[in-house]
Amino acid sequence: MTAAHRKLDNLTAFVDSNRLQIDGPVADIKSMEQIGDRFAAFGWHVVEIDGHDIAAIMAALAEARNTQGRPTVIVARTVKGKGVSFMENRVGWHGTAPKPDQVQAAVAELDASGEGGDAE
Amino acid sequence: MTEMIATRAAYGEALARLGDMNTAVVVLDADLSASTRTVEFAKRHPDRFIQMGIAEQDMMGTAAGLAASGKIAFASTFAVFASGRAFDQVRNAICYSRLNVKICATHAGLTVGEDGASHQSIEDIALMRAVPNMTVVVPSDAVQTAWAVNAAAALDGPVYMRLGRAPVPVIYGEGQEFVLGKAQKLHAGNDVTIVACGIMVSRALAAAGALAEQGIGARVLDMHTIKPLDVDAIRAAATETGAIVTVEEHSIIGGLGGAVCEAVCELHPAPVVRVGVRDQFGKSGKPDELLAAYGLTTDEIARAARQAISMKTATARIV
Repeated sequence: MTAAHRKLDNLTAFVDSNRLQIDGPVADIKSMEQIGDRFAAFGWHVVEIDGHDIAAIMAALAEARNTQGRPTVIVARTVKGKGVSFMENRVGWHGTAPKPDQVQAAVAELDASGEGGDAE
Repeated sequence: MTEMIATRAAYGEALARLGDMNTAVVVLDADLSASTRTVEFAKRHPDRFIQMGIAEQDMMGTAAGLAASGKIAFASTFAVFASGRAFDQVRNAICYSRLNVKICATHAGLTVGEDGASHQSIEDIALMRAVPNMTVVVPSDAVQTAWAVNAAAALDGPVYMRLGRAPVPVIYGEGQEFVLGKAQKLHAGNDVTIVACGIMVSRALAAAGALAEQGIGARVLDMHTIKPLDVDAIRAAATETGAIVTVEEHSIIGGLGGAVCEAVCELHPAPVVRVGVRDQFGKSGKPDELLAAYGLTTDEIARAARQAISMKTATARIV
């Protein structure tokens, strides 16, 4: 409320919306539908994007920079653990370190798909 | 007739004067500016006053951010909200980062009065002194409040200052020495020591007068700084007078009484009798009626002093 009331247009927030939490899916625990609408009701400018699309992220940041008189929230829809078959969209990986063999398997999958970047 | 001034009123004036002299000072409030008296600063320095509305957690987080940007941030609301509602932000945003935020919380204790139990903080000293990096100060009169405001601004780090709603007697004169962490001895005596803070200091002095008429010499210490506690004064009280009474407008659990017991047990065991709210919630009422109903009276302090002295002869002497 403060950010919108004070017109803090140099403030940009990201919501990493992966719809999972520790004890289960968000929808089962305390559903948080329409995140963007909630922020809009509080006076924020809302940009909704695919959180895995780098170009979309850059465009959203540019839009935030050009938005006057209100803060911006970028609601990024993501898949938790994207690119690793045994982690994607699975509850249970929050705060859980993968074992060495799991790390190997994960890195192999990421390298194969080209999503891994430099795994040095 | 002794002048009666509420410590919150003295705070408002002292803060406005501080703002005149120090441009790094900013003040935040949470919709209670007329009550906390930050309105005085707001009138003189509107560009440095931030009204956060009924959002105490937001206020503490914002104060932390301002302090991190180089300001000296004074944040005010009622004690129950400052220490309770916003505890996480005080702990994790302000104290964990050791930021220059001075939390000046008013309407502490039972003398909030008619607002009742939900608003009468009897646990704020206990909460705040348990947080690392926090300095906790409870001024006893208007003059000491002004000293404390300036001392808080000069100190590097978080401060919790506990202030009251009701007018209280002026005890101190201008030009006396005030040092954070050093108790002020207001009455000499060697039979018992009464350690008091806040509004109970003047009642402790009255009790010392009553005890003197009974031939009992009561030393009175104004322990304005609960953290860091003046352990030298406590050690001297234990070794030289052998019996201690603590008095506060706060629960007997975890506040001044708790702090003194911790020190006495480690330094020089001696009987300590705690006068305060006996682990009960307050209730709605007139301030003076509440103090009487909850035993925060001159008579109770004197009774406790006689009890502590009687325990002195019953315990083994540790030389």
